[in-house]
Amino acid sequence: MVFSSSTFLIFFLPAVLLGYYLIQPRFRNAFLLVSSLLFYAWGEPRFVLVMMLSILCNYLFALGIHASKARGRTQAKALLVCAAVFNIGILILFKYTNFILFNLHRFFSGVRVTSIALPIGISFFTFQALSYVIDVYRGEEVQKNPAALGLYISFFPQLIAGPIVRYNTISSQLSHRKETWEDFCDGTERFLVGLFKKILLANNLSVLADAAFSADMRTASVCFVWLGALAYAFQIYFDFSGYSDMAIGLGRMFGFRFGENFNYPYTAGSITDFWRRWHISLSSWFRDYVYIPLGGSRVGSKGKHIRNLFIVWLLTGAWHGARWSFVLWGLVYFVLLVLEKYVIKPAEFHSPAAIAAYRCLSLLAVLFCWVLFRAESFSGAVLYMRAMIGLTGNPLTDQNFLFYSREYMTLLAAAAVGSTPAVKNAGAFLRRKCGTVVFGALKTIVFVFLLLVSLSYLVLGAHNPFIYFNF
Amino acid sequence: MEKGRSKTKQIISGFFLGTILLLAACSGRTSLSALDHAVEGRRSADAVGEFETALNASFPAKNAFVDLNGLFRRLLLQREMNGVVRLKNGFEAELMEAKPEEGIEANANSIKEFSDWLGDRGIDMFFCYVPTKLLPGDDQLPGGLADGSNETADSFLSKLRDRGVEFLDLRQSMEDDGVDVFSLFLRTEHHWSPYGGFYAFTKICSFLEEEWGYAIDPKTLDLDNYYQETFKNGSLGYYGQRTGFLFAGFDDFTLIYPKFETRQTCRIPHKDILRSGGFYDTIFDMDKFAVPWRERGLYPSYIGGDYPLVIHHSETAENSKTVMIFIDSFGTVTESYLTTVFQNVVAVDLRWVRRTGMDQSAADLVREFDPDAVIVMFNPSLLGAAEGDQFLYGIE
Repeated sequence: MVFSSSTFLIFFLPAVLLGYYLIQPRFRNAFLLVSSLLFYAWGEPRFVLVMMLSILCNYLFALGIHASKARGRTQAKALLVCAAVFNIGILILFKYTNFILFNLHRFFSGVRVTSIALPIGISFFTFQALSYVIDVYRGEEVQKNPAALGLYISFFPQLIAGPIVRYNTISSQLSHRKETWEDFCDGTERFLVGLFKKILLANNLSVLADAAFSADMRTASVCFVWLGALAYAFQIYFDFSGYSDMAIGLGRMFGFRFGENFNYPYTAGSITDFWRRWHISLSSWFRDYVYIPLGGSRVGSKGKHIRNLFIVWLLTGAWHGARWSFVLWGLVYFVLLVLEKYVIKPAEFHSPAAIAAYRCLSLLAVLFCWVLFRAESFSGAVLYMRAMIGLTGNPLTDQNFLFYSREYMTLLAAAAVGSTPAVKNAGAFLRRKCGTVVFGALKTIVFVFLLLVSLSYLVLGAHNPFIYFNF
Repeated sequence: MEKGRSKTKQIISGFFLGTILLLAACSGRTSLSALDHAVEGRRSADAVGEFETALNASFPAKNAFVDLNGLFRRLLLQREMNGVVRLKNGFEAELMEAKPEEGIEANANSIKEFSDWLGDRGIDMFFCYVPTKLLPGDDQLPGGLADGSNETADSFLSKLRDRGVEFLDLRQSMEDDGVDVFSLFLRTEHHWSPYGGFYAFTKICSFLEEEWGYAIDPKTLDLDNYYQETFKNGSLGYYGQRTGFLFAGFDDFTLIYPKFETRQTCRIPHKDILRSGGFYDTIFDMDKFAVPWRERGLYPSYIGGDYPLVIHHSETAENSKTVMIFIDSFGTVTESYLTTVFQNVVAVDLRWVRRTGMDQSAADLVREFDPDAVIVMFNPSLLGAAEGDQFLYGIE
């Protein structure tokens, strides 16, 4: 079930909201837990058992670690290792087994290739569960209520597309949150912003991106493939950030506050800055649980620092999907970040022209990396990139570019503006100029209109891709 | 200021909550039955998709949402919506890719076989090509889009020519007469207007007269001898209903019926319908005008829609010959005006012969009605499939 669907909006969400606010507060966590499991089971009922197993095992691991710490760190550490093996093991089993065996099969024909189905969201909930266990080992208070832990791991707003919520972020909220109408309204507004991003921008631009990426690269024009790459860059941003907005908004409706996951990444001044703004919950997870434990940047030698970066970005790439192109995508960022850190050093630029030029170069690099991310294969990505620079014998423009550029120019312009703080700043400016009442009326009209338009896209059964199936 | 902001958020939240709860309430029964239907005997992944589809199909005020979406697309300056393209002049069209040569070849062979079979029985036959609203050299298509209907038509007609099958290419007629094709077509659907169907009727009669020496009452070909009753913005065609009236606009729809005296019957065996009286009473199905405006496409008011077999008999037509016409939905208007010329007109839509389980083939119907002439007319969307209904004539 996706948030931007009729099933969720007019079937699941009204039922959960009504149920949650009608039952007694002491049953609300249990109600949310059941609702979340139903949410997850909607698409593939059998995989809810995997999640319940994860909840149970991590609950027991954390209890064990907590109890063992009093007796000494060795036993606690052993349990931590077991928990890590268990969680990573589940991830490897469901997500990487097919990939590993397929590649082994290339060299050893006796190796049998499997076709294990991937439970949706497994990358998110195993990372959440693992972070909980590690945090308990590090001193966080253990959760003795299995339902509360279950809710933390399976809570439907962030279950299938993040953000990856740290246990310490919501541990007190699990037992002591207070739902207020003001919070609910804040949450609703945030949810709607996410819905608009997903349906109006991401879904629409995906049509253009899909057309470009499925075109014949020998004949697709340079301009058309650039348009497609641009469309995909906006698609993935608005889809992912839109989903995060919806998750944060939904959490707020139930009294939870989650951390931010995106901070206008396309306004970044460098690759380093980009990754401080993109999928913040993932990069901070790797920072706190991989990079810093390895020593981070304080390892004393350049070689070790680069090694640490390599490991983090190898894992980051692999986390995104069981395909060599994803691994390569992560490693490309590793190379770019090392270059930035040790060769280019943009933090030391002073000239505005140099800063601006580097900002543009960084965005260009990000755009090419998205091509690698989106393409069906590494060779497909290379072919696409070659088409972008006219190396496939393709023309400069074509009918596709003519049609799609005109058809999507308004959306692309809106996406470009929307990926900066311009909308927020314009809102603040208008409020100052027109006054709160007039601005409030305008804002209400816009939100109502966009909500109804978003619903109209659902009614038409318009293109509504779910791009997190690799996760 | 904070109070004001808070109030705005409350209004927005209230609207959102109210909307989803209202939609949930309206969809409640449908959702549950959709859930039952979707889950019944299906894998879970299919059931989820089926449920979502059923929910969207029964969405409350669905048409209003379609209209709103159309408005939004206009605001985005988009020209394509739900598979329909809005041409530069505001007309709507659906583009088609050029059909495969092998399929067209097979279609031409089928027509040739049928023509030969009819010829053996002493029955004249010709094919009348029904154009789309996009003629060769058209400049109304938005840049970057291409339509394959003319390429398909050219290929098919050249194959008919090679096989010695007579045909009438209405595109050529329109070009020769200097007719603006858009004056003959409806804006919000693929069909031509009654003016287009009437124009085709006059060209067919000209062909019959000039090529085969048929006697055609000249008064029947003159539009001045017909009443033209126009219903302004009265029709929202198939495309218009898919894109909404805010994207498509409306069509004026004109009923064209004779000023001269007519006395005829129209029998539709499949529906057990028998209408008799003047042209107006027999040809027009006025029930179509009672449909709510948002769903009212008036094109089917001619005859009542598509039927496998429609049998016309006119007491006032001067030519006593029997004309059998194999049509698609474009043919219903043309068939109607043929009843002013010929005492017996039999219209067959082979697509519906099979769908309605009629146990008669085209050959059977020819044997039954023993026409003097057979006309086969349809538009290019039916070309390309060797086993298409329009090409299965039941000839042994």
